[in-house]
Order: sequence, then C-alpha cells, then structure tokens
Amino acid sequence: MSRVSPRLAAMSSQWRAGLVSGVCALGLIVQWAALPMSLEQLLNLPLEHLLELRVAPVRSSHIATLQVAQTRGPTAEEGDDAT
Amino acid sequence: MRLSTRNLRTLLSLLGMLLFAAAARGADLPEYRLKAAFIYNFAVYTEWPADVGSKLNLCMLGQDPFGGELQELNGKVIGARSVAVQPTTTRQTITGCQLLYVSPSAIGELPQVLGALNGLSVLVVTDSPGAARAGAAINMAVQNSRVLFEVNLKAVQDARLTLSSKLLRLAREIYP
Repeated sequence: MSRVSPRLAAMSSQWRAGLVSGVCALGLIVQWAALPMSLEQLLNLPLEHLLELRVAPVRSSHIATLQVAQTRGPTAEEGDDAT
Repeated sequence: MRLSTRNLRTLLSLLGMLLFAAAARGADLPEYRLKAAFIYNFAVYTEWPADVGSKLNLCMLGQDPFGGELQELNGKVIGARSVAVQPTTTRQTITGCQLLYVSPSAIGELPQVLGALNGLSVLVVTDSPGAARAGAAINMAVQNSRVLFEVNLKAVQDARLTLSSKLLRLAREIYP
C-alpha cells in the first residue's frame, strides 16, 4: 500500500519507537508532578495559596454551611446573657 | 509516513489523556492534609503572650481525622518557639496547650472545653459548622471543595491572643 523504501520504513520505525518512549517518559513525569502535594510542600505555600487549593470531596458532612445553627449544648457555662 | 502521522495522532491523544488524568489527580488533595497546613499557618500568624514558654503545644481533643499528618508539624519552629504535637489530650490536660484542635468527634464538648480554658491563652481551632459562633477562635470549613476559615474575635481577645491582620483579612467571616 504505502510505497516506502525498506530504509525509510526502518527509520520510521525507529522514530516511532523513540516517540513512544518519549511520550511514555513525559507521561510518567507529568503523573509524578501532579501527585497531591505533601504537607511539607503545603507548609511552604503562602496562606492565600492554600485558600485556592481544592480538596478531594470525601466528607460531605464538612461541606460547609457557615450559617447553620450553632452546635452548642444545653449548658449554662457559656455565659449567655440571660439578664 | 502516513502510518507515522496516524501514530503521532494516537500518541498525542494518549498524552492529552495523561495530562487530563494527571490534572484531575492533582486536585485530589486530602482534606486533612490541607487543614493541617492551615493549622500550622494559624500558629504562624498568632501571637501568644510573652509568658508562654519556648514550646508551642499543639493538642488534639477527640478522634484524629488527620491520619498522622498533624504529627509532621512536630518540631517545626515558629518564631522563637518550636511546635510540640501532643497526640492524646483529654479535657483534664488541655490547659497545657497553646493551640487546641477540637475534632468533630469531640465538638459536643466545646462548651465545657471553653469553660475550662476561660482566660487561658489557648487558640481553639475547630472544623465543625457553627463552632466559631459557639466560641471557638478559628473554625475551618470546606466550601466548593476549598478550605476556608472564620474567626471569633472575642474568643481571640479573651484568650489574650493577637491574630495578624493578614489572617483576619483572609478569614471568610469575622464574628466580633
């Protein structure tokens, strides 16, 4: 079908092998670079940056509603001003 | 050469998929690893009275949701003090802490904890809904997959602590 000389075909095959290896290596590097940051790495980030980072959606109980009702218990120790 | 071009296209698609997978994986930061980093920053941006010694005791009340991540803060130096993580804390021993994290499993004890700490320079950090209003100095939450925090200024002042203006500026909510 394709009219390529054996030499060209051999070169092309080498080129393909090189390309495959290159892409695989690049893929591994990208995977490595995209691993979740360690705590040590996080500690070196400014606080502003921490606020931008996304967490894995694991615990739905923490999806937050800052305006939800207070969780305080029915004790009198908190000093509610019941004057 | 036609075959090579097709291969190239396939390989580029593969690379694209790899990049996408990598980006998606990078977003999966464990929640409590990030919260541990926040707690460290809270300590960095808090000023304790001078009578607090050279150790900054970081305590945890309740079940440990950090899976050992908080332990990694042990020995970190913040200003003139070094962090000492106290893995097991009871209500009887909280008075020796400078930073107390009350985990969601112990949040029901918060009123008693605050009563026991009355006037002591302990920064109480929580991550339970409504805890800042209930008297915790700093409460963390997750909203839209991002960690944010709110501050109870009165609790901070009562504990004779000073939060940096940067921390206050970045807080989602400040309760006076």
